[in-house]
Amino acid sequence: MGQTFLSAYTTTVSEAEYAELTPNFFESPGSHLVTEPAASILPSRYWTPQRDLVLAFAWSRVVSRSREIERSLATLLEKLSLDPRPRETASASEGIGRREGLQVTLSRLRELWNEPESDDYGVARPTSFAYDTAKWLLQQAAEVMESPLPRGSAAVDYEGGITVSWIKPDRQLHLLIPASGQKQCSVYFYTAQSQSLQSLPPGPEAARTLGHWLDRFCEG
Amino acid sequence: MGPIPLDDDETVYRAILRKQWIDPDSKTIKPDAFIRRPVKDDDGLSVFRSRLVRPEEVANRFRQCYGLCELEVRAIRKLGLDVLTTREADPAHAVIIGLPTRDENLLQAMNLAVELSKNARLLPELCT
Repeated sequence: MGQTFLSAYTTTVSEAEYAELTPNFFESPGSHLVTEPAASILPSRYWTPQRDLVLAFAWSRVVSRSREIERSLATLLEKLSLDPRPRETASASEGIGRREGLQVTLSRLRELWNEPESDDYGVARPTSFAYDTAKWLLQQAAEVMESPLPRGSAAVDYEGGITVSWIKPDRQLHLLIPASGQKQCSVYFYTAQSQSLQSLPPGPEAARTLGHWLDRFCEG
Repeated sequence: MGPIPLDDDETVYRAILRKQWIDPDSKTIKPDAFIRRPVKDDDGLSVFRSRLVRPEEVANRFRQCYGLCELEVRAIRKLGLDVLTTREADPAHAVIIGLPTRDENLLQAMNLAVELSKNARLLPELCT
């Protein structure tokens, strides 16, 4: 079963191929990708020693789903000699500079997977749709922005959607990502003088729109 | 007896039920703490009257509470909202009324949530 699982839910790719992959794939530990549906049960990450690439993995949550999956992933981890360093530590050592804000924001986004499924407020863990969409938008917006993407923080809404927030004393920007594709993503921008809400268009234009608002947030 | 408006000079506590509601950089309350849910907050956004309950008692009402923030009723009213008592059996409980849900009016829900968060004072001694 172990090998069956690995062949069914992991893919071997080159780095060049990795660069072309869509955000529906989880990040890669160098040469392996864990794909859906395995990705949805893997809220934490282990790191390859030399690369800013990741294999998603979490013992505690996997155990409750399937011991076979647990054993299979253990085999994979062992073969890859992964290093369980937290991402922010790994990123800091690389002196990323311009990408520091993006890395911190993505790290905070990933932490949402560690939440319980629900709490006193409602759904506490994001849906895969919300997570993948948030991650993709942030990564793509960082590419088109003039300024470095600033540090943002992430929160889960009562339905499993995600809000990514950037807050300064005089302005705020909130990226609102619904729990499912049935609703649209939006950007809300606040200053004391004016407030704006814009629905994000589908496709790459969404990232450009978000990048525009983030640049505006960074101004001044 | 029906709901009664609170006095202008009262203050109310709002429970911080998620750590994510506190901005990790500025340590301020985020608007997420003031988003009204469609069903659970049918009668309004839950708050607790500081005249009638201690902060620790509010925190203990929840399985997980990361702190409290305090708001003046007068400041809430300046936003066009109101604060009313709810149940005779729980006189410390009150609700902020007038907030739309995000599905009803996303722009207004966000505007009011931001304004409430800017008016909220985090009680640091209760933050974990």
